Amino acid sequence: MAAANPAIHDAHHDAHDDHDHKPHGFLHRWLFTTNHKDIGTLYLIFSLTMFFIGGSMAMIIRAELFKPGLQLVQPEFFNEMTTMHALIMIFGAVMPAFVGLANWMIPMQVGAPDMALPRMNNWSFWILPFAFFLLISEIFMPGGGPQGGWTMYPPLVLEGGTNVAFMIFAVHLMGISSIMGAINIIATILNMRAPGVDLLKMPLFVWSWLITAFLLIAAMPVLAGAVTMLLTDKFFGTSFFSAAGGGDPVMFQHIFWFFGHPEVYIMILPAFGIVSEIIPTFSRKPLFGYQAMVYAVASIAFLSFIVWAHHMFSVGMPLGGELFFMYATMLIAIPTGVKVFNWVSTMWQGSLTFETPMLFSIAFVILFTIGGFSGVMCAIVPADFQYQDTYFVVAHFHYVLVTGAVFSIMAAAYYWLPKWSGNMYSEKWGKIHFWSSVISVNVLFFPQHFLGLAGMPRRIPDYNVAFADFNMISSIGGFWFGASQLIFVGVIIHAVYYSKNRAPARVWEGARGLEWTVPSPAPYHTFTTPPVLLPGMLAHDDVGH
Amino acid sequence: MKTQTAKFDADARRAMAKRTALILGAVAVAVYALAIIEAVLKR
Repeated sequence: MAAANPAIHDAHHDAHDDHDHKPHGFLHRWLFTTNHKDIGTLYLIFSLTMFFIGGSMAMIIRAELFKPGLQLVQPEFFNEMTTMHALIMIFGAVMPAFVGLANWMIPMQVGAPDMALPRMNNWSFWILPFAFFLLISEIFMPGGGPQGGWTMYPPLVLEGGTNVAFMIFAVHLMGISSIMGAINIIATILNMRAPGVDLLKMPLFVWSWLITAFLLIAAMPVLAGAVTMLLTDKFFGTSFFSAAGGGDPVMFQHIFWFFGHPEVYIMILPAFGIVSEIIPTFSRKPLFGYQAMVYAVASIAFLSFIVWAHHMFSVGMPLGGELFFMYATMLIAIPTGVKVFNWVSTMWQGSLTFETPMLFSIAFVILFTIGGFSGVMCAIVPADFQYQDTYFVVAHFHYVLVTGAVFSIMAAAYYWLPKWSGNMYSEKWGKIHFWSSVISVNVLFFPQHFLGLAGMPRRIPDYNVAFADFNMISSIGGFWFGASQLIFVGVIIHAVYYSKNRAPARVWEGARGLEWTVPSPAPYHTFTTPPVLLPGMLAHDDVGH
Repeated sequence: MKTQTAKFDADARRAMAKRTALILGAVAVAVYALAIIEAVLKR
């Protein structure tokens, strides 16, 4: 009757902490799991799968653009590819990857036994494969998939057939999944922290996710509202966005971008958190300006809600509106600059080593800053009239999203993979993956700046011969970058199944935080009783006091 | 640095987490409704 006595029960339980208690059977374990580590793994595998599906669509786009003239695909299919590539990469690859990392790491970093709402967590994940099945299946339907771009602007998008309904239902499902995930993350961070893990002692990754989750709850329902109105306009005779019925198509753009701009930050704030974990570890120094980093993330999140119309300068708006959105957008450079300076200051006079996570993080700081600079260029209203809808914008957001968000996800995967799998990855092949990726991604996207400045429009399958050379270079970079990611998969499979190099609990010499106090691989259940904090256990236990 | 106190009621925290989730869910539904109401009013 050990369970009758709580003290004996706890002692009994502690003794079994390292046993895994995994459910038996493949389906039982993965379909019905409520374990945050299992759900994190599911999210990460799903994200990697979507990364390759969306990536193969990018390969089709770059193959078609290899030479001027129509080469391989029909223009309608090309438009399907640009639309689906964006939807899959944003909602299927980048966002689920960050949610997967949050699931794996947040409970361990705050000393909680699991997410606050484990069954909802299961539901958040398992909605996603169905949403993407609906979305991708449209390609094989009569009339094909959506061709109006991921921004779904009416009236163009409403020209589609049944695919409109499928796309909108898929977007609704993704939104529900994201909102439930965000609610779970906030509930976990606010209520499940171990005693002593105060808010201003939490790791930056946890902080950045807390703020991102609030962005998700404020932004995703707005997208859901916008696409619901698209649905009723298309199928139920309303005219929210139809000028013929007294509606306003520009209103859709305002509502969409009120979601769309915070969405951009939803995809980059967790990246800031990851880089803020990795750079101190490999600099063997505490993060420079911890509190400033927290406030900078919060400032960026606030500003993200008052800059939406910078996506629509050329649509037309009063001069006062143009000036407001221009200046508000430029303000974002200030907290972002604080972050970049703090990352550099963390490295300054540190004992740096350049393992793969650190290499990806340094590349992130440099290349994300290039994407940030081209963002400030786009914020300038008169200049933006030239850049609007050109490849300059494509270059800008790919620097932010690929060398920003995706590089941070890869950095995180290398950083925490030994904790997840219990094995070290091959540092040699990790570095080959890094250098191959970082060179090819610049061959891929840097020439697109020049193409945009020269006036090449985005979302077209054919172009003027004047743009031929840079497009060929960009496509070669694209195939090279795509192929480089196969190395990533190889490194992961090797580390998980074949590596003989066992990882210790504290995988990296300079790493601090609760996740490094549990064995590698992390046991199936961790912190079933709250950890007792010892000096030096947390990375930020003496900041600002 | 704070040391661990004896008071850590995991069940109470889970109950509080459920309340937090309900409030946040209500906020999400309200934002969804506001987006549509705003569009109706702007017509």
